[in-house]
Amino acid sequence: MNSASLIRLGVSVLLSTALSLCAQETGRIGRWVFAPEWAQNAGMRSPVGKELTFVGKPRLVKDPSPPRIELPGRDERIVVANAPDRALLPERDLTAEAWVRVDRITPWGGFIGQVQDNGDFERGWVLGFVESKFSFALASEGGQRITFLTAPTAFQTNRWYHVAGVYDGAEMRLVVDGAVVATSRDQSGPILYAPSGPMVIGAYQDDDEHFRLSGALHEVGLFRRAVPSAELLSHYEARKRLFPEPAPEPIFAKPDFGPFVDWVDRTTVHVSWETLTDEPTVLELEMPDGTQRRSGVGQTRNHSVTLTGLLPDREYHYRLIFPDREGRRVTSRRYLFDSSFYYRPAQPAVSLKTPAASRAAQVIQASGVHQGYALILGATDADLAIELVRQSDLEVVLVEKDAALIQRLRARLDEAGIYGVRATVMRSESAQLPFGGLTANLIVVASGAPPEIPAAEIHRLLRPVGGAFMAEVPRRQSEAWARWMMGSDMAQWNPAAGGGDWHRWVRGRLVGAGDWAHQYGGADNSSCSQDDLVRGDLQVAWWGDPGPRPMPDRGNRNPAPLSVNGRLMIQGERILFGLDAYNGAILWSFSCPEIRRANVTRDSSNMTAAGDRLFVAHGRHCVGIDAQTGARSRRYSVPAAGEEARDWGYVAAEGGLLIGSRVKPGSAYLGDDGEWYEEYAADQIARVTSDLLFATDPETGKLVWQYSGGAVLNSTITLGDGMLFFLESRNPEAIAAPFARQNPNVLTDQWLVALDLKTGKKLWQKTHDFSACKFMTYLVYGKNTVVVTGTDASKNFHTFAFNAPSPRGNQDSGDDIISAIGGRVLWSESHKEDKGHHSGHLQHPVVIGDTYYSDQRAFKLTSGDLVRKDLPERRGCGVMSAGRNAIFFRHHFHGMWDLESNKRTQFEGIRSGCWLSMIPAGGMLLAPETSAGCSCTHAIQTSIGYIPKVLAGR
Amino acid sequence: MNRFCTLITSAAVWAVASARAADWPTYRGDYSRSGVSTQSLAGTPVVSWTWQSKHPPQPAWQGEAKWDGWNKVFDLKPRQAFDRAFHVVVSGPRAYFGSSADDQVRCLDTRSGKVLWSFFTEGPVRLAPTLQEGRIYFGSDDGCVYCLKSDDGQLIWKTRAVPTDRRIPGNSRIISAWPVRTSVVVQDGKVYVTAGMFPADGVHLVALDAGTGTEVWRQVQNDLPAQGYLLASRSRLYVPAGRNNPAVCDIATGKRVRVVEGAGGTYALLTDDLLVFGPGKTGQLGAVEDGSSDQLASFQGNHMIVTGSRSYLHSDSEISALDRGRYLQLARERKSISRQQAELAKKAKSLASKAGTEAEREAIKKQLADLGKRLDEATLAMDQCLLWKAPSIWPHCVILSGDTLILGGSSEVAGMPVASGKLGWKLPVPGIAYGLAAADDAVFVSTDRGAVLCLRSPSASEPSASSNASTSSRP
Repeated sequence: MNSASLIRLGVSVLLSTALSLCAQETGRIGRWVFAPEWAQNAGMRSPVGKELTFVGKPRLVKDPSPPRIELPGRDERIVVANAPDRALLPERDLTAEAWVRVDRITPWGGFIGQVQDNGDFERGWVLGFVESKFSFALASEGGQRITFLTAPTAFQTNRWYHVAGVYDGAEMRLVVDGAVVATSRDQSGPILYAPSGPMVIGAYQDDDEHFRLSGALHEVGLFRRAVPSAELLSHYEARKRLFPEPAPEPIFAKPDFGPFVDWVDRTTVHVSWETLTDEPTVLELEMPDGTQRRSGVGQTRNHSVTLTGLLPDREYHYRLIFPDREGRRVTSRRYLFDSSFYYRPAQPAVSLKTPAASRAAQVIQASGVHQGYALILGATDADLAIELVRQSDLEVVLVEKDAALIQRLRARLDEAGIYGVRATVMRSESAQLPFGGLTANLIVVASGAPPEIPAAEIHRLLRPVGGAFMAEVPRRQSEAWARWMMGSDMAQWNPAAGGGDWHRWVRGRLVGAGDWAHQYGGADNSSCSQDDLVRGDLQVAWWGDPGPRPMPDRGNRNPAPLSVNGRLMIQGERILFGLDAYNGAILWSFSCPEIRRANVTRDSSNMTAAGDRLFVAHGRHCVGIDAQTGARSRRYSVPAAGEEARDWGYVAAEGGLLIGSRVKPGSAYLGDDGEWYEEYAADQIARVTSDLLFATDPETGKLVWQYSGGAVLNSTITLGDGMLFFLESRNPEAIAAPFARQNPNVLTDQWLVALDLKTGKKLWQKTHDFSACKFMTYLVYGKNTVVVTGTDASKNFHTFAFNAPSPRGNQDSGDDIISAIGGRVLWSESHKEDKGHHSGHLQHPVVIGDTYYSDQRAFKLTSGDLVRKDLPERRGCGVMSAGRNAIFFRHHFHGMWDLESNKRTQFEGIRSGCWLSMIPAGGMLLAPETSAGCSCTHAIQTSIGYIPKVLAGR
Repeated sequence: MNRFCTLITSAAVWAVASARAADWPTYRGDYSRSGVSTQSLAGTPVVSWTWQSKHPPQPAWQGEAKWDGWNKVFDLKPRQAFDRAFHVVVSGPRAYFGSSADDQVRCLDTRSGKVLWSFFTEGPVRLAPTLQEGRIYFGSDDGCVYCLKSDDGQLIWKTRAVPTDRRIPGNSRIISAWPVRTSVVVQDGKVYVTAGMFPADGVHLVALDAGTGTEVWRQVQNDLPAQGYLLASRSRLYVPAGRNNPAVCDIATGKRVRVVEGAGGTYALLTDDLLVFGPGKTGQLGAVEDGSSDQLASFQGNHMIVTGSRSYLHSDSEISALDRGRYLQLARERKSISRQQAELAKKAKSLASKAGTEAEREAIKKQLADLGKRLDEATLAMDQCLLWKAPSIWPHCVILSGDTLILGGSSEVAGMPVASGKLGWKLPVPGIAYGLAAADDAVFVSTDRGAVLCLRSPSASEPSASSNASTSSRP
């Protein structure tokens, strides 16, 4: 007989023994043993007490031991009685007990109870938990209001416990694994019950709240007496060996690259992934009707499957199945994509064609514009608009003043089936068009003659960095066009190559525009984009998708959005977006369930942008993504660590190099349980550390240099003026740790190190006591000053500034350079966190010029002189971001502080997330939706772009 | 949070003045958004005709987030779902609706489904128009309010609801920076409407002269947006605020009276002295009494229908009928008891550490116990107000047509006689039925796929027809 059979026999003997005994037990109201043999219809019989009714589809499981009911925590619960039943409700003395395993922590949880806790109406009792602690709650005539008696320590998820609540009319006791862990004498006398409401098992349910248990129950018992502690101990002792220790985390396989889900059309996706070697894999898709669809891929490294016939607005789960070395199958995690995340504009009928096909093709090819918004001026028919729609993803607006022509154009576009969803006609008789500035990707004049609208107005409307003006210029009209152009910013324009009579002018980058290319603006971690334009009064420039649905919940401290060259890159919940920063048009999106990072406070972001490329760390790779199209055009891999697997950690693009760090697999926080990472708890403050820093040439993919020393704190990696700074722990225990998420107490013997960015050679190093930085450790650079800051467990800020002179001329000598100059302490400062609101202690500093803003204070960066300590109030959980002239933050809503006028502005009705999600770049303030699951009633949840009124020009 | 459902007082609703009894001249029939019609369909209806849009509705907003990770709450309700179908209004033999897909307002012959006329605006028309005295009024995302002749679609007047014409990308379209995102209310010669999305840019609540479109008054709010269907009584205008809670304004001046408390949402229903709104975070309706900001009660559900003696509460999985008069009386009694309890508890707390107050504390304790018993009695009595409860798989919309509740579901609509609470009939429809209207001896169903169906009793119905042809369009 194998061990499993022995255990089963043991359980069976014990159960039968227990069942025979229970009939003799005094005061026993119910004994519900969850095992398949007790199942009947949509419920269960019980050895003692009422039959149970199941809601949802909980699963009764016999093997492996113990027999139990598995509750996934969605819709499932077990009803003992739908209304109060005197036979089930002890008048005074009561004991409730449960063998239980909790898999997911919720604010409230119930194993068994009949409770109402609705504001001032508090009745009944419940055995369960409050957040991570077991609890027993009860209201009596003597207390009137419920007392929640909770255990002093947290329970462990996925572990079996015996939990009991006892009340004897004078004292409440909470007993865990046979030991009394809490008592209270707040209640006395008979128990107060509500006149209505159900008694349920496996849920905390009253009229206001309903939290289903995610976990399992083996047995639940209820007594009309206060069972003595010794007796409860015997209950526990008798069966404790039947319950296994928590199972180790299942080991999931994952592809070496991907999977990526790309939309083909509204009902079709293409899923692709790669394996390390040639092997057959299978994609198993769960359909909404519960069936499964399996798609096999042959012996190859590059795998792809096209899934057709998808329904809109559904969640699709899938797994990848791989053969392991022994030929058994191993699976990936259960992945998800959502068919509501389809953002391409409506497509016209395939049969639609007009005589303007080649003209439209010339415009698209010569302008290089395929997406966003196009204006057509002076159209005499709708054909060009129809063709632009047909041959691109442009939204087209025809502008006209003649009412009769407008009617004809509308009728034609409506007949073509594209009016509204792709093309519209707007009436305007004014020389100034009603559109907001910097909006149009393409403006087309199709009439041959110059428009009545002046060139300056066209210039006002064109989007910077690529917005194109295209005009058909017949030779006979060239002089008229030259006059029209004269004196405008667009005077230098040229015939479009291969474009017939088409001439082209393309708008460049705005002078003074900044980029937000890294987590904290620049790689210097200054949280400043250096944008000179975002200042003064702002107004809404655009709003729209992505909304809250594809975004992770608000508090995970997720990677910040990025904006470079007029594009906005957003990391959602395992989905990436590229948007036009000036009008919000979604350029591309794809989902990848293996791209996710949270708690950036203790790690680094997984993405950076440079020029027209976005770089995203993904497993052991970094993906180079074309920022305009979303094409995954390049891939870089982390340097190997012998036979051991490693992931790509930190990523930055600076000085023509792609900088990376190497972490042990599984180091990154994922935030999948709704964590907020703002408490002083070991599982929240542990730092992700790297064992290697390296630089890669992004064009050739070749490794340029690598550095290894201590355990590098990812949150401190900083670049500036050709130098790379970081803190590393040289504690051997930290260096050798098998898991790279490490508690600050292990990360001792910390050194501040400066490398030459170009060569990776060490410039200088400095040991210092940074142990006060318990909650987090940040590092920022500016003006040859490097600043380390963090808060201690009592939320006091501690800041240390060091000089960091630029490398001198001898770094090419081939020798390691240890500078005697760098690393000198310039100043240090400590103060109690001023903000006094949640996350105040996690504020990331901002550096603008020579001013260092931290918490509620501003210091001179190079001297530490206190400049002011009256920064505007910032109520809420976000952190600051800045341009050169303004700081942005959450103060309930989106907020802005104009440094020039010292004026604070709030954009009411709309809020940011609990981290860094408002970025000034390209002359715009960009704020992707990040409030997501906020339970608050903020009126609007949308991604939004604000523009200074002076730039909008209207 | 209160646990109890509250029923609504009398069913006196504000009929649109000129509408005939069998008309449905505005969204959900009247400015109380009651969803009640006196007309009845005999037997199981059949589809008389279907009008199908070339493109489905283009709602401004996708769903809510996947979950509230902090509170571990799943299945969050969309709180600004007002434009998921082309909602129909009806006067005589003509049905009208706006389109968020092609920016037009259409007039259809209710007998044939034939398009009689259509009218282009310069932006999506997201909310149903309002009919009065031979005119049709509506707003558009282009920031304008329109008044047309309802028989031929001729423009009578068009007024920009804000002083500035600025068009920017919004919800993937070039629209006004101040789109009209509430319905239009026409009452006592005035048109009430809002324009604007973002409080920082100003959200305008405007009254216009119904005859000319000229401005009567204007109020600008800088804290809340305005999205959803306006409600009105003789003295109040109720302005839904998207995911937030509605604002109550003086209809004579537009000045704000208060913002009610609750969990937000654009669904709302008005009765004599109660505003019911939701669906909040997870499908809860809150009820606030006139003159009050805080809730009298809240209850699990998405929609409510109120008649003279009953209320019908419509949730994701069931519909229930309650004795509303009795229930409301008990809810008020219960609120009063709770208030007394709170005051006594506060007093007891203040005495807890004072020596020599034992007798007083004992007395309070006894009073608290007595109040607790009264509270239990009221609670039990409220539970006994339930007349019937029936499972429902049609959670998206409900109206009352005569003595039958019409329920909108996914790919199906159903009829449930109120006397029995049993399923009377059901019919397949293309898509999710988010919109229902009852008039002209027919029920009109609007779905998320852009279909408008006319259901009639078999005896009154012509053979089923499909239509998307237009006979004339303007301007």
